[in-house]
Amino acid sequence: MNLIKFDPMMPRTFSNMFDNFFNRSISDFVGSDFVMNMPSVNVVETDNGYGLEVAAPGLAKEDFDISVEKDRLTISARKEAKEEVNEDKFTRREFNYASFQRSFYLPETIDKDAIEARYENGVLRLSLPKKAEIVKEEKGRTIEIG
Amino acid sequence: MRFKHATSPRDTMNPPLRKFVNDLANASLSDIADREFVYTRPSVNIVEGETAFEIQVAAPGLQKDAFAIQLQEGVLTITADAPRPEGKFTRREFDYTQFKRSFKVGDQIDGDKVTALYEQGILIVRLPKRDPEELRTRISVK
Repeated sequence: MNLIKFDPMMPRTFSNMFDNFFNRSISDFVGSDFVMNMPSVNVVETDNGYGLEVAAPGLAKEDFDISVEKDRLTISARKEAKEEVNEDKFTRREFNYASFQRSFYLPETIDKDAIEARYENGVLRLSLPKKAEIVKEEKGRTIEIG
Repeated sequence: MRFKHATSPRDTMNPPLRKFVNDLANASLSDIADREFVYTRPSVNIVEGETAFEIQVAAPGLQKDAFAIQLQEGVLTITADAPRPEGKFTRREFDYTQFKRSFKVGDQIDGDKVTALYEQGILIVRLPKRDPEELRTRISVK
């Protein structure tokens, strides 16, 4: 085990804050100031483009607003509160995805007009296809010998 | 004196965390290196109602068959076991396919009445409270 000398001047990194957070017991938890409110995102590259997955559970597809402005893709959500939730009732609060915004810079190769989105099992999935001519170019061309 | 108006949750974060969150807000599609970790352990909210507790597990992207919920000796354990997704990830921030979280619920829960459902990526486990009268052992005076 490595012992690290405590240095009050050293900034706490996010990851060590994270460890502390998970090592707390259930009863300690009340009063913590850390609530996940920014959904995590995965991006998968495929031959034809990118797939973007936003982990934003508990919403309805109507809550999302997705827009592209120049090369910037912005995904935001705002949950319409159906009923007033009394915050005092939470004995533990680790997530709240009711309202967020995340932006991504799109590569030039993406066909902005062909972007599609779908919300399923709490994941917002966007397909970001590459422009047809780019895909064609990347695949290369086999020249037939006549 | 500086006057601070509305405080958003972001304002109350410590500076490294705030930087981290701001970085997230302006990201590119391929940034596998700028994240220190992948979230693999879902966040949980617990709400106490008058007659029951509700545990909400934010585990999006699974099927309900992937979950197993067990109540044993006062400990509720929620596990998920789904196939790990494959593909060429250029950004990876979450993977909730395999996890385990346990909660000490003690004897205040009526184990026979626990129910669960998976909705919009949230696993909701409802734990009805036991009638306090049941927990009391009455000793009659002979």
